[in-house]
Formats: sequence, structure tokens, C-alpha cells
Amino acid sequence: MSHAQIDYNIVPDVTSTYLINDVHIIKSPTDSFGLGDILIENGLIKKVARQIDPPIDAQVIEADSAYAYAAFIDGLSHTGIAKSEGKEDRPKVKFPGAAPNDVAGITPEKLAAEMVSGKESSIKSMRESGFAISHTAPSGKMLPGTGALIALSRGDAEDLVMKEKASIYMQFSGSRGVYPSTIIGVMAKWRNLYKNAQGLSDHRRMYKTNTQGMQRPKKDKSLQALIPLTNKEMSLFAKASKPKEIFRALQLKKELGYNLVLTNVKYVTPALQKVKQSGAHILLSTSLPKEEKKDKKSDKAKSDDKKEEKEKNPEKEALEKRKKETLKSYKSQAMMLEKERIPFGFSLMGAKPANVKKNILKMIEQGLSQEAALAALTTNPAKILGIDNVTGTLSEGKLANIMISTQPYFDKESAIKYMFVEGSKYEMEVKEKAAEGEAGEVAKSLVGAWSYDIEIPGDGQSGTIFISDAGVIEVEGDDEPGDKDEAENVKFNEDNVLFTLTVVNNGMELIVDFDLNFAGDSFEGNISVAEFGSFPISGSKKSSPE
Amino acid sequence: MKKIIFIASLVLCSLYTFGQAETGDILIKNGTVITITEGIKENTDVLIRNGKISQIGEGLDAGNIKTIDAKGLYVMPGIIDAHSHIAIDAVNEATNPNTAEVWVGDALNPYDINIYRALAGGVTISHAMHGSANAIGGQCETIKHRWGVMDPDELRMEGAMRTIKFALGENPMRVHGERNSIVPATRMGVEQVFRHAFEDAKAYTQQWKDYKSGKTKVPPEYNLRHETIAGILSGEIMIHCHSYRADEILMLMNVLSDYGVDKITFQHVNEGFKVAPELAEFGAYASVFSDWWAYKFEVYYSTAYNAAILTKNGVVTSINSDSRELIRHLYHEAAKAQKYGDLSDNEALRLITINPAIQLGIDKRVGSIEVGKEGDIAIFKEHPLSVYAINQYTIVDGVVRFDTNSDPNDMRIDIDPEESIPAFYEEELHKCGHNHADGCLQDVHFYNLSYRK
Repeated sequence: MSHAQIDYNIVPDVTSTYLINDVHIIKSPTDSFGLGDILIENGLIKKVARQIDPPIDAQVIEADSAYAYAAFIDGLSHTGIAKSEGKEDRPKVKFPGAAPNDVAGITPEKLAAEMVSGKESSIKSMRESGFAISHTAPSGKMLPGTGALIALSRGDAEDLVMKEKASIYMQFSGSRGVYPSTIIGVMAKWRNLYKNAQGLSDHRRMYKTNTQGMQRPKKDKSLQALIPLTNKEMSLFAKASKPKEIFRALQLKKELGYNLVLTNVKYVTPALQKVKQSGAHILLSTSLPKEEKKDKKSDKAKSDDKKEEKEKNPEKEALEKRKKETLKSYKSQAMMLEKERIPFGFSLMGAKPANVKKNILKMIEQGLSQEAALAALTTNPAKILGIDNVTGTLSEGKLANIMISTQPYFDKESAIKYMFVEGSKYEMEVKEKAAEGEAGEVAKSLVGAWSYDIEIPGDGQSGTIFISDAGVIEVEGDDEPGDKDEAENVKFNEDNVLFTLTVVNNGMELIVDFDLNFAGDSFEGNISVAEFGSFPISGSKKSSPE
Repeated sequence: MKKIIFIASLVLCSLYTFGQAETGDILIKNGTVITITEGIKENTDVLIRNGKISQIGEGLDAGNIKTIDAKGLYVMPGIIDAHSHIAIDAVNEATNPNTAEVWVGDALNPYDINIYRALAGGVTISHAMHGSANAIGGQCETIKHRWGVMDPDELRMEGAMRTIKFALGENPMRVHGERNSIVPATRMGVEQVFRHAFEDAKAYTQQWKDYKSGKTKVPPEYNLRHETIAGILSGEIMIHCHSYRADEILMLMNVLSDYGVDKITFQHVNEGFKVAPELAEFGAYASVFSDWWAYKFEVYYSTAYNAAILTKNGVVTSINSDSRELIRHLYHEAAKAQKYGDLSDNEALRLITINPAIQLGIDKRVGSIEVGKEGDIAIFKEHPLSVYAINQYTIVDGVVRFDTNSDPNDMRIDIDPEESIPAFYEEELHKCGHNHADGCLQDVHFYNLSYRK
């Protein structure tokens, strides 16, 4: 190896020894070490001290009094796994009530570890938001598969996998057209599967000691995959976004007795006490409900008189008020969990990593302490995932999973400057913050209706994008005529238009980023979907305003 | 402001009175008490303590507890609906002719506004049923309308008898025979589904007996479906069967006789009047509409005298809603049966109180105003069988869950923070793009070909 002409920005892994010099060290949510140095060797934190002399092979990073935290841990998502290519054909089955397991959405034996690809852009975007480890699971229906713990670093899939079989992932989603197709089918099927996994486990144990006069245990890969759940070597991660799903997940835990982690929880408050009593762990979603921006549709209320009348509608006002209160309680539930002393982590399933900080700051605004927020990003998920002995804090001997922020992380203006994932260094470009709320001017040529086509392998989608002269963008898919979704975060920059759309697909909330370049009567660009990668989009003008 | 405080207090109650369903103390004074089982008592007080009726009499004094002055009002037992699909998130697991193992109790939705609307019609208990897509649908759940609770568990009527939905005729034939070309494609096929299910359950029970007695070494494969059907054979679970035609009704009674099952309530049973003596002899119950039929071919033949004919033949009969709309005026439905069939007031009111309680196996606890029974009460202005009747209060376990004098516009308890605030009609249109007239086939997508991906 030649050390002569290395550009450290391109080849950061030239040494496995780093000294982070002069950094505020937040060892754990409750232990702030103050200014000091961190020595990293062979992927581990070798030493944390006030002053460390750099070893000869160390690259010294002058941190200039930045802030070092244990890098974050994502409780559960689909990070690193490609979205299945297009729509899978549903094979025609003779008896929909007895479809093969894979058709029925029952594939706990599918390993996320074998589906992870180091090339997935989701790994990078998670890392750039401060995460060093994801717990990732396959997508699907009732039992999509076995989750894996992966390091969010470069490299081959095999290098990334820290733990191949970390969990069983379950959702209350039925398979369309075959059993189980509804929530009642899923719950009944789950009881049946679980008890048979227990039965198979017992049978295997008996067969080991005495085969005389005993049939051999049958081979059933789905049941076999569930056995570690029945003997508590693994936990069930059940997606339970809303209170009803939480209550249902707790009911099944109570009946069957496994370890449960409630996952992608969007609203828990009504079930708080029951969660506490149950001993289940909880992973809050990092996404929050969309908040309406004011005066967006003001162009619609043309007449001032009418507008005033509308504003004074007491019924509407009362409804708006309750909506606002509910929104507030979504934002304050993290604080409620803290108050009830229920440790929780975060799940980034379907969420945009770049929004994590923004949303956690909203929770902090509602009373969540910074310590609890940091614990939810580090020590709590480490405990829930059973890796607190190797990561979650900046302690000597633990994995060198470190996030370095220009200012205290929970300061609004802070930015992540470096990430270390198992000792590999990543340097981020810290951008100058753009002025907020500047949507830009709408070029006259853009106003009107535009057809679009999105190229998704096997599942092309088309529809219409409406751009108003006030800069409001609405999107209407051809599959749902009349159902227009309004875009958010709209930015016009001459012929370049950026916006995001939140769509619900199979009960899953997806955030879609549009990046369109207009030229004359046509446009080209990309859409990207959190976790699933990006797809080309193109279109042409259908009509201009009269 | 008052609204918000009221709603907030509901939410708080459910947060902090966790686990057990809330019960209350209340004194209802000077009403005309329609006991159903012990006649009518004028100027009488009813005292409820800890959710149970503790005293009925004149001039009762209970100290400083909530009191309702019912002077000039009619006090009757809470109305019971033996057939509804409100407050559940799934109605049909329509993928197999026999899904005995599924249970709508798993899909309870305490936030369904229809619970509150049913309370406004004096209904305190409903039988949340699986649909009729399958010959053997799923297990049902008897719920108490404790509007305001957030935990689905608190909606259950604890200890109520277990019930299961069966279905005869065209619905299972269409869903499985026509759609998937599997049994049952005919009414004969429907019978075979029942017989197979009972045979499988018997064999399954025997397998476990053999294992437990040491005859076999390996525990049999667990099968919740067979286990549930075995519960019917052992008398633990009562059948409620969707039915229209007399021939099929007789068929099912024959099947049940072959397997020693004697508990059944026929639902709809529109041709029940043709076989009323046979139903009475079998000991079967009937739960009917007052005057609703001809909504499809197999149900073109019925009569508004059905309830009366069944009653006069000694069949325990109830009038049900099967509808989130009808459930709000079951007292009118009972009155219609009286108008056509000349039933006495008491016979008519039994159709919506003690008789459905008998059919749900809860008549020892509810369905009449008697000391020791649960404090489920509806208080009407004008006689409940009068067209002028208006419900004033609905009380469940001694807790006022509906009060017409405190009935704010927005009684929802689950708000979507991302909802658009639409006109009601638009919202309904969005939810039910197609016709849901037949609630029993909810969640069956085969006749709605435009169902989205």
C-alpha cells in the first residue's frame, strides 16, 4: 500500500486507527464526559480520555470542539433491502382457504440478512442521519420474515450483517384473496401457527431422547423459523401503528406469552398503561402526522366575504380544534412514555431518515427531555435488540459507532460532520442552511396540468400533476381518479421543481420525493421513495389555464 | 368548550380506569317501569349500585348519588340487538367455506361512532357478528355499548356465552361455488360443509383423547378450527345461523340432531313462519327483521307477520337490525311487529329485550328490570312502542352513556390528525363507494370488481 498520494476524502479507510481530537464527548444520555479525545482502533473504541497522544499510524481528526455521540440505532425498518421488483403475480390457487404459505404471506423463514445489499441508497441516507445500525426486516404481509441487524457501512452484504437472525417480524395485514385475508384471519392463523411451532419444538425435543414408536418431526420451514420465538431466544416485532393494533398485539402476547416489541408505533397514548403492564417493548415511529400549512389554498377562496364567512363556521372551527389537539397528543406521547418510565426506541419504517431530527425536536418541544430522546436513539434500542454490551454508548471496548455533530445534536442548527461505523470514517458535507420557507417563484410556463409516467419495473404508474399559479401542486393518479393529493415542501427554482408527496400504499405510508426538470411542454426527472430507491418520471403538458 | 371538556373527561376516564369496565351508581325516580318479566310498575324508583340493580320500589333514598327524575317517562331494560356488525373492523374472512377459528372479538373497534348512535336508540348490547360469506363463518362477540372506552377489551360483555355464525343458501354458494368453483356450489354442498366440519372435529377430539391417555406418543397438530367446532359439539358455543328458506332451516335442524347439537338461533329466518311449529319443537330460536325482505331472490317470500307467527307458535323470537341504521330504532321495529301481528305490548317489547338476551345466553344478567340484574336501562319519553317515543337516557352498568340533554355534535373519540374536514356525505361516499346494503357480505370483494390494488 502506498501512502504517498492519498486524498483522504476519497479513500478514508487507509488506516483503522483514528484519533478524534478535542471533542465534547457525550458517552451516554446520562454521562457527559466533557472535552476530550477518542482513540479508535480496529473498529473499536480503544480509549476515551482528556488527552491522548496520537499513535504513529493514527489519522488525527481535529474536531474543533464538536460533539461526539454514540451513533444511533434504528429499531426496525427495511433499510438495505430493495423494494420487490414490481407487483408480484398472485398465483391462482385452487383453494384460497389453503394457499401455500408463501402465497398467504407467511414466510418467517425468509432472511433479511440474505436480502440486504450494500448498494442500497437507504443505507447511506440512514448513515447520513446519524445511524450506524439498522434492524432490518423483509416487507410483505402477515409474516414477511426474519429480521437482521446490519451495520450501515459500505461493503458487501455479508460484511454488513451483524446478526443474521435477530427477530420475527409480523404485521396485521392479510393477503388479498387468500387465507388469512383480514385482521380476524391473521389473528386466528397466528394462534394456530404459534401453537404448532411450540408443538413441533416439543416433538423435536422428545424425538432427540426417544425415537421408539414415535413418528419423526415433520419438516416445516415456517414453523421451524418460529421456534426461537417460542423459547424466547428471539422477540416478535409486531407492527402496531395505532391503538387498536397495539391492543391486539398485547392480547396475543398475553395469550401466547412470547417477548413482544411493538413496532412503528404512531400513537400509543390510549394504550399506555396496558403497554406498561404487559412488559412489551416499544419502538415509536419517527414520522409524525402531516401538519397543514396556513393559507395554502387561499387562491380558492376568491371572494373575501366568503372567506370570512368560512372562517367563522363554528362547526368547522370545533373540528379543527380537536384535530389540532390530537396532533399535539401525537407529538407529546414520547413525553408521556418518558413520564411513565417506559423506555422506548425509534423505528424508521417508512420514515424519511432526514426528518428524524426535525420530528424529534417537535417531541422535545412537547416536553420530551433531551436525555430521553438520546436514549431512544442509542441505549434503549441497543437494549431492546440485545446489543447493549457492544454498542449504544461511547465506552471503551465498544464498537466505534460514533456520530460527530458540529453543535449539540438537538440544537436546531447542528449538522452531522462525521460518522464512524465500526471504525470506518465517513465525512459529510455540511451545507450552509438555505433560507427557510422560500418556495420560489412559479414560472408562468409551468402553470397547468401535466401528464406523468413513472417507470417502476413491472408496475408503471401514470396520472396528472396540477400546478397552480399560486404554487400549489396536486397529484392525481390514474388509478384513483378524483383523488388529488396535495404536495408538500414545494420548491420552484426556474425550470426545476421539487416537492414531496405522502401516499398510503397497502396501509403503509410512503414519502415520495419529486425532482422534475421542465423544458418547454415536457419534463423529465426522478421520484425517490424512502427506502426503496428512485425511479425515472417523465411527462408532458395537457392543458394551460384559460 | 363544554363539548371539549366532556370529551376530554371521557378519554381520561378510559385512561385511568383501566382494565375493568366502569360501573356506576344511579337512582331513577318515579318512572313507569316496564320490567318485561314482572309487569309494569307505576311511579317506581330503580336503584343501581356498582352497576347492578339493587332495589326497585317506591320512595327509595340512596343518599347523595346521581339521580334522574323519570316522572312521566318510561323506564325499560336496555334494548338488545341479536344481530349487528357495528364496532368491528372485519366482518368476513371470505377465503374458506369454514373459518370457525376466526373471531370478530379480535377486531373490536370501540371508536365506531355507530356505538353512540345505537345508544341514542336505547340499545345497550349488541351481538357483533361475523358475516355470511362462509357456511361456517367465525365466532361472534356480544358487546356492551360502553361508549368512551379506548380499550377494545372494555367493550366485551365478559362471560357472555360464546357464539358462532353459520350461513345457509346463496351467500356461501356465491362466494365459494360461483367465485372459486369449490364446495359449496349448491345448498347440498352447504350441508356437506357442516357435516365435514363436525366429523373433523370429532376425529380431532379423539386424537387428543388418545394422546392424553397415552395411546399415542406425539401430540396431534393443533387446529383451532376443529377445536372451535368441537366447542359447538360440547355445547359451549351456540350457533347463530343466517337463513331464509324453510327447506334449508329443516335441513340444518336435521344435521344438528345427527350430532346432538340443540342450541341454535336462526337469523333472518324469513320463511320461519312456514316452519314455526318445527322450530318450536326443536327448541330453536328465531331472530328476524320486522318487515324487510325481497332484497334478493331467495328471500322474496316473507311477511311482516313473521315475528308474530313465530311468537304465537312458542318460538323465542327477537327483532334485530343487521344494520347500523336500523339499530337506532329497534323499538319502532318492535312496534311494527305489534301493529301487523297483534302482539301485546309485553310480547312486542320482549322481541328487543329478554328474547334476544335468551338467544345470546345472557338472560340471567340482562333483558329485564329485576333486582340483581345488570344496570342497563333505556328511559323513553312516550311509550317505547309509540311512534312519538324518544329515548332520553341510555345507561350501561349504571353509567349514563347517552343523555339527550347532553348530546354534543362531535362525539367521536378517535380523531385522525391528518383528516380533511369534509361534509358528512362526501366522507360516506369515500368509505362506501359501493352499496353495502347487505352488511352480511361486508369485506367480500368478489362482487366489487373495481376493488383497488
